[in-house]
Amino acid sequence: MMGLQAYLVLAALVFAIGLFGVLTRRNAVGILLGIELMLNAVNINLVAFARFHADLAGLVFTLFTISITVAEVGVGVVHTDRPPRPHPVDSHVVELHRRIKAVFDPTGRLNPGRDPLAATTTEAA
Amino acid sequence: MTLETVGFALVAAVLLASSLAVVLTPNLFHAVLYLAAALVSTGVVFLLLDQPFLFAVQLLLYAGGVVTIVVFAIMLTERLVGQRIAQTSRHLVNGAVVAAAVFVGIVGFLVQGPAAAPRPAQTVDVTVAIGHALVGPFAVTLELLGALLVVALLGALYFARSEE
Repeated sequence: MMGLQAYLVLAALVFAIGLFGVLTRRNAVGILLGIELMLNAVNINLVAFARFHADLAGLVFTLFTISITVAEVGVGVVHTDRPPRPHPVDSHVVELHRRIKAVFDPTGRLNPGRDPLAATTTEAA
Repeated sequence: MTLETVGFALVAAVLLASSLAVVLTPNLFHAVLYLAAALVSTGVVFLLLDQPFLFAVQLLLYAGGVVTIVVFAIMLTERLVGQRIAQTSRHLVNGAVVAAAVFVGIVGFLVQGPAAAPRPAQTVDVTVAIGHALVGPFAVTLELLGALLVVALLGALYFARSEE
């Protein structure tokens, strides 16, 4: 009979390989594949613990991680060839945000010398 | 050497080899096909752990869904770009060192732990038990998952919409 530790070591190996892929791949799809491997390793761990401890929670959570991973791939793949553009924001909204920041940060201590809102501003139509 | 040990060794070899191929092959399309092999062998690991229902879910959702989506994305992107996407990796040594360190850390933790208890006998039908758990103690989690899937669907629609 295989012990629990054999499954855990196998999962750790797959996790390390996936981490290697995430660290070394240079495009989004390659990194996504590495993340898939890491999540897969976690699933092996969950099922192994559930089986050896006779606990149902691990199996149910494996179902949940599989579903969430599929959703993540769906959204992630859409992003790979079309990165989200900065959304144009109405200048009145930006002015409102500046006034909120002035209330909480009157001396300009946070993010000094920068105006992160400037890049997204468009003149109100 | 029982039959289960032989099966585990075989599946582990296939899983590790295809996982390594996923992160090392320069052709992105081949990487996805190797990922399909890795996912199917993970499903076989589930079978070795007496979970036929999870094996079916793994094949349907992961090997079926994820691989199809990624293959479509790559083929569409290649047609848009008009050239085969090769991917070169960078910092191979650094990545290998970090990954090996994580693995050694996990195994070191495992070695320190107490020896695992032997596998208890499977008494109930797990598929039935999972069904009862999903509408019983995990009903709220299931609803939250449904909400998450709707949000993901809407997000994908939002980003996939055509430009006005």
